[in-house]
Amino acid sequence: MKKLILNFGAQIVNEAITAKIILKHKVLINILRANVQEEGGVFLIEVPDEHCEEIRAAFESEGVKVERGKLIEKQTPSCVNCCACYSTCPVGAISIDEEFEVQFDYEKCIGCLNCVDACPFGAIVIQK
Amino acid sequence: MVKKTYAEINEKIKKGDVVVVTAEEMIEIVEKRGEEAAARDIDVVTTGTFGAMCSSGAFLNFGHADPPIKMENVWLNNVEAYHGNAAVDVYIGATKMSKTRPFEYGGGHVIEDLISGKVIELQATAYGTDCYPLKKIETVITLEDINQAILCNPRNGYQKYNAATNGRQETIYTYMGKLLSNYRNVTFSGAGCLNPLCNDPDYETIGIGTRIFLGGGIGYIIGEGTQHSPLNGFGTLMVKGDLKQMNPQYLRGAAFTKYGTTLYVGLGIPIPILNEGLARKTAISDEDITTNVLDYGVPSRNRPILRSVTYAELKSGEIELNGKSVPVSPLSSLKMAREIAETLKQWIQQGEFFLTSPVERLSTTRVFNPMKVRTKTTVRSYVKPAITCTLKETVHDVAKKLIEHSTNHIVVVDEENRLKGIVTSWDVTRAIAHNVENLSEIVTTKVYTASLDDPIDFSAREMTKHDISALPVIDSHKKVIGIVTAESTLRHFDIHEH
Repeated sequence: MKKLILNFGAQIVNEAITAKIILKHKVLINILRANVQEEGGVFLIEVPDEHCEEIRAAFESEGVKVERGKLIEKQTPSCVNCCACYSTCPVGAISIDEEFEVQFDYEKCIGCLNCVDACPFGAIVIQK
Repeated sequence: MVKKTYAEINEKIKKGDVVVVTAEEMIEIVEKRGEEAAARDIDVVTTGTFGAMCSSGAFLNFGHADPPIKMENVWLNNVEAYHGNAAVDVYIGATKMSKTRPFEYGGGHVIEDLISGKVIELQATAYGTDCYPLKKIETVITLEDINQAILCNPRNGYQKYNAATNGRQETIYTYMGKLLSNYRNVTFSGAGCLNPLCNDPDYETIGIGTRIFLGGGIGYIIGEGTQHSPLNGFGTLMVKGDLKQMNPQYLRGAAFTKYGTTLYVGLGIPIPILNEGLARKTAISDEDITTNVLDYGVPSRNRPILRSVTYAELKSGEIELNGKSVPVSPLSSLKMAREIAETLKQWIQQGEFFLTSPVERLSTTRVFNPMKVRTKTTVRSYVKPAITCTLKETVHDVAKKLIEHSTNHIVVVDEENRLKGIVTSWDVTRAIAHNVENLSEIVTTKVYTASLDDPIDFSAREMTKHDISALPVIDSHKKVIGIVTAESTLRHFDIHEH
């Protein structure tokens, strides 16, 4: 599964774009997070790997801005590998390797931000 | 029988043929070669740990201004330093928080910034004396400018520590980090088989005067730490060292969300292998070190033990709790602990670090006592009889009860006196204004409660947090025993303040 961040502008925020695309393309789109405000909406969705480009193009043709960025990022110089973040992640996106170093799998991250305030060093930064 | 002396080992260090291994490496050596051969072959075992050590801080001497000042209140980067010594000596403690950036920046960060060579703002005020006329000073200092900067930590290097989890329905923020609701994660502290005191549990070589790795520089053990509790394996150390030699990589300011600031301290202790006994003891593995998982959701000194666990299980990243697999975070950096043991090993191998024999041993029998508290501290002392009603009564009946008993809270119960809800005078006022007669429409059924043995401070915190003014007090069968109100807790805090 691949994650996409969808940005809906204010002028299209009340259109049923996601439903339309699901019906038309018959692809299982998993909505992980949704934040809809009057000034626009942001969705985090998960799409099967093989349909990722097709779905991205479909949203873009409806005027939705699609990104593939990280939701959070570990700042390596600040991190001491105390791994306080590791046990707060609900989806296993954070792991500890054999050298006891903390590893982030941004593909798995659902942006719940649970880890951010678990870090005693402010080393996990929310990406705008 | 192998018998070595400190002098013999130091001679080997001087010649460059000393054999040093880390505590992790020692496990396999003893397993393969046996205690006697290991004691003969290995001269020194190095240990290391890197974790949050709140009982840390530094003595600083600024030198005198002209005219001089007898500092009474001192702030470094807006963090208050303790001044109860001579004119320009202060102690900056790791957990003291900045008055402008609390929970984010504190004494631990000031110490890290000092050894990073950063410029620190110093403000001080004084009452002025004939010999120290200056009453106010604002300047900047760096580590280089000040005379002595001595890291002096009253309690470091716990032999082992409890692991933490949380049984409450909400996430809590503690000195053991962020603990998710319903036992969904566990945290622990300490480096297990790399922990200094675990490798010398009878304190044969670790004592007053032992030279150690401290914050990337050289330090010394100056005594047992506060709360030293050797009988149950919770020994601690008091240490000191020259901040000017230290390295910010091994001394890091940290901030635990909603808890406060602290200092991560890098500590490494060399253990000379003087005999077979020490070879055996330094071969301790994570499987041999057990601790307990405690429920930090219970706001009491006596937190319930959920299970016993080994450091091997904790370091695996997952343990079983109530039949479920739960992720476990080390709060100490095990990577840094290894690095410290490795660095200390290199210092000794390169002839830069010599061992000292302790001038006095640490106590092996000291008992850590709890504080005796004379004031009343549990809900038991503040509970009042609850005025109750059942759902069969009307809003009008309840209004009458409020007036009759001059109270603001009516606890709703069933026939067996079990808690069903709560109604306040505000709920009743609103119901009358809107002509609501049916009591069940205005009852709050999601009720926050207290038990007789809850600390009153905890109940007060619950009321503040949820913006409510009373908690029904119930027993384990949900039967109502009474009520504790914000008013009665105010009385408690009033007593404390006077």
